[in-house]
This record gives sequence, C-alpha cells and structure tokens, in this order.
Amino acid sequence: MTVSLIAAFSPIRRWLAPCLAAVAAPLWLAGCGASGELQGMGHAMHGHASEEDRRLPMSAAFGPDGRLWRVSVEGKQVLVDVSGDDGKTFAAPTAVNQAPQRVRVRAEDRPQIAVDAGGVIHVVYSAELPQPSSSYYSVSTDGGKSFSEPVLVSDTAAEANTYENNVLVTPDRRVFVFWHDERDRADWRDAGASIYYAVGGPAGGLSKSSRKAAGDICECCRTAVKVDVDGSPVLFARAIYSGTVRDHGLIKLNGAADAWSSSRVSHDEWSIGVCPEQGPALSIGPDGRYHATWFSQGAKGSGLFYAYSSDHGAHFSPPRSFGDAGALAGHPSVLSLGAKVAVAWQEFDGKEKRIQAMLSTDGGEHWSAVKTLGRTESEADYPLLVGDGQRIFLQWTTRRDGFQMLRVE
Amino acid sequence: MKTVARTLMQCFLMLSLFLAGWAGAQAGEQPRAYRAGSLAQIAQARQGKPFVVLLWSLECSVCMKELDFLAKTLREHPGMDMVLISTDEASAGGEASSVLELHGLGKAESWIFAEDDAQRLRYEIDPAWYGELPRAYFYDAAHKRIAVSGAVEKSHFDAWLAAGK
Repeated sequence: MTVSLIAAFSPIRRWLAPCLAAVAAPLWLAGCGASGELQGMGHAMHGHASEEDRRLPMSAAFGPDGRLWRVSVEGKQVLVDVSGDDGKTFAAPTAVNQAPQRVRVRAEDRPQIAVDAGGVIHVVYSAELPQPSSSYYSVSTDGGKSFSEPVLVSDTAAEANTYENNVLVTPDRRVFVFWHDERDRADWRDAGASIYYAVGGPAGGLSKSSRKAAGDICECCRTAVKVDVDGSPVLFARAIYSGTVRDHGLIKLNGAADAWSSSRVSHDEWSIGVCPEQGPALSIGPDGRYHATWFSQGAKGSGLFYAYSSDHGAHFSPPRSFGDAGALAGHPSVLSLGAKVAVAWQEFDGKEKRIQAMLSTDGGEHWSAVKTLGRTESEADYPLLVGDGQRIFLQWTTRRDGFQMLRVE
Repeated sequence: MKTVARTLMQCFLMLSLFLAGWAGAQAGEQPRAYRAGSLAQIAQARQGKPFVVLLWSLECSVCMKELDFLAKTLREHPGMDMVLISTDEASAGGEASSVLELHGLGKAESWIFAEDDAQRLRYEIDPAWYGELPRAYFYDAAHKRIAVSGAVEKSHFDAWLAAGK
C-alpha cells in the first residue's frame, strides 16, 4: 500500500499559499506600495485604471436610483464603479481593498455586487489568504465613495477554503452572503462542498458565525441565489445525489430562521466524478414564478434545459431543451420581469463565440426563435442577464469590445 | 496538533518544491507552455506510438485523487508515455509543478495552458469537450483515441494496454 505524500500532510492547496505568502507578501507590499497602487498587466498606467487591464469576469447590478454598479478586478485590486447611462460610460472607480490582494477571478468564481433599497453597496470576492481561496465582504454606506475594510466571511477561514460567493439583499434590506465551503470534507480531495452563509443589515456588520445551508454541493459550479416575493432567499445549485449524480436542486429556508431544505429539480442522471464548472441560473419574477436554466451531460438529459415553477419550486414544468449541442451551448442565464422572460447562453464553433437568446412573453410557456445578440472571435466572458425591473440587458465582456450592456428586447 | 517545527519543515519543503518548480518553469522546462498547435506537436513526437493525455487543474479537487492513481499506474508501468496538461493559467506553472512533484509525477511530461482564450485551446483538443475535468485521451499507436471524462480507472488503462499488445 502506498500513501501519497500529499495525504500525509495537509493538502498543498491548503498550505502552499500561506507558506508562500509569508515569504512573498512583503514583496507584494514592497512592489505595490502600502497605498495599494494599481498594478497594470503590461499596460502603462495613466491616472486611474484603464478598462483594458481589467479581468473579463465582472458583475453588475442596478441600484434603486437606476444607476448601474459594477465590480471588477485589476491587478491586486477589487474596483467598484458606477454608470448613469446603462453601462456605456463609467465614473472613476473606487478601490474596495486598500491593501493589495491576490484576488481570484474566474468566470465561475467572480466578485459579486448587490445594492440595497437604501443605496448601500455590498461586495463579495475571493482572494488568497489565509487559505488559497478565502471569501471577503466589504460595504459602502456613502454611495460608493469608500468601502469598509474587507472582512473574512467564514468563521473557519483559517482552516478551510471558501469561494464562489454570492451576495443577496432583500427588500427589507437584510443581507445574505453565501459561499462554497470545504470545511465539511473529511478528505479535501473528495467530491462535494457545502454552502455556508452569514447574514447582515444595511450597515454591513455581517454575522460572525457561519451557518450551513446545504451539503453535498458540486464543488466547482456557481450557485444561483435569488429573493422570492416573500423576501426569503432561494438557492439553485448543482448538487451530488447518491454519491455520484450531479443534478440540480433548490435550497430554501424552511419557515424557521435557520432550517433549510433541499428538493431535487433536474433528473438528468449525470453520474460522473467531474468538475463541470457550469453552474445553473435562476430568476424569480415579480409574479413569484421561478425560472431555472441548467447544463447537463446526463444519461437521461444532455444539453441546456429550461423549466419554470408556479408553486415556489414545489413542482417544475417538463424541462425544455434549447441551444445547439454541436456548438458547445453552455453557461445559460435567465431573467424574468413577469410575463416577459429572457434566456441567454453561449455557443462556440471553434472560431466565433456567439451569445444566443430567446424570449417569452407569456411567463415561459412559449418562446421566440433564437436570436444572436453578440459575436466575437476574442476571449469572452459568460453571458449574464441583468435587469432593472423594467428592462432586460445582456452583460457581456469580450477582450475586443470590453464591457457591454446590450438590450435584449 | 502539529508542532511549530514540523510546520516550518513542511513550509520549507513546500517552498523548496515550489521554487524548484518555479525555477524549472523559468528555465523553459516543466511545465511547458501549451498553445494552439501543442497537441499536434505532442502527437508528432510520438509517431507510431501509443500515449495518454490527461487534462487537470489545481481548481479540481477530484483531479488530485486522479494524480495519485496516475502516479501508481506509472510505477506499475514505468515505460508508459503519459502527458499531463494543466488548464490553469500559465502563472500557476510553479504551483502545478509542485503539485505534480508531491503526487510523484515530477518526471511526467507536463504542460500548462499559456494562452488567454482557454476555450479556444480546449476546442482544438476536442470540439465536443465542454471543459469538464478531469479529462483523458487514450491514443493507440495509430493515434486513434478514446476520450474519458471523470476520473480514469484501472479498467481504462487495462483495456488500452491490452489493445496495444
């Protein structure tokens, strides 16, 4: 019997980074200056950040006054900026973290932003230290002029990786921060993570103790998090059923303050030990109807699927297949304004990436023909649908054209 | 509880491994920069010979168990031609090398994605691959290949080795 060296020690991803950081952190600080000046990536810096230097995966959300708030990453800095013209132009960005951090930016694990009814801006992101991936939270109560010093969200941040964060604000201005957490894994190399969360209010001040919403969650797929019409959070995630099946389930508060229950939604029977890196999407319309989209390669269902629920997730419509499997259709997004619902996804033919979309005007019963909203041959982020309650936009960032907000209707 | 001395020793060991990996990467050794055309280059160097390509990532915890199994397989079949390709960003080359070293795969040929557009690189490898990891390709001597998503198992290797006899 052979025992892997890695099994004899703590896992490398758990402590290589802290060891390195002990040596490297002073170098970063020396290189960046204590003020955390921006580190360009091969571009000359002129004044504040130039858009070209930003990493492609960003997040954007409309605030109560109709302005669009955006969070992005450049070098070792998380930046927030605001647009008064639906994303065409942005004001100079504000730095969230004053001390430089090695921020993790991946299409599946990007900084997230939410603005509450009073205009308070909440940001979450993943960065190295104390673990290779640790989740941080910061808040701005002065309209984005400054941000609080980022705090670790997990109460076991020193021992377990946390990543793939979400931040949610309810109409009554409660704040929920959700993240993937490795604390419950006996062996970190095993499949499955847990979703933990912390709660806060409009002034920030996230709860110190972490609470568990679900276990046996696919460790590498983003979770979709939305607010139901009654103000309670609803999660839609790829979970692991029967040890190996990676299908999707809803995770909801079960009446009581901290009791969560899960119910399986998709039955594609994708029984495989892989990291698909394709999390699902969820939208809850003002009419309370749930709209879900997901990706699978299951024995019973393969490709992209859409389904809706008119009873808050108890039952879903039969899954509707969409997208061109011959062009790697993936990474779907969905957004409902009520009767009007949009679904957008990505396709790639080896040369060109296309963002495809379809629209429904009757709450998801019937759908329009597929329309191409954008094309590029350059590197591109996933498509994300963003709404202001009245209009639907496609948020799409490409290396060639930068950040775009394209009207979907 | 770990003692401080042991922690320091571990840190020292890790740093040595990391710096060795980093120095190797700087010197143009392992991992090599994987770009468009690299797979053709890998196959070209193995004309008429069978080989296995394994795609993995530091982000993929399932891959870590796979690495242990691959090291064991290599010990059992020392002549096996195995090529490891990390889909991480090229800046993680040092860490990728350290991980392979720790898993006993320091001598295997190793590459890391070195272009921004990972999707394009994946498509060139296989237009039907959605990017799930781990992903393996078993090439026979004529370079016909079988794709496997998820952890490879002994049965995959046994069938491939038997077919090559």
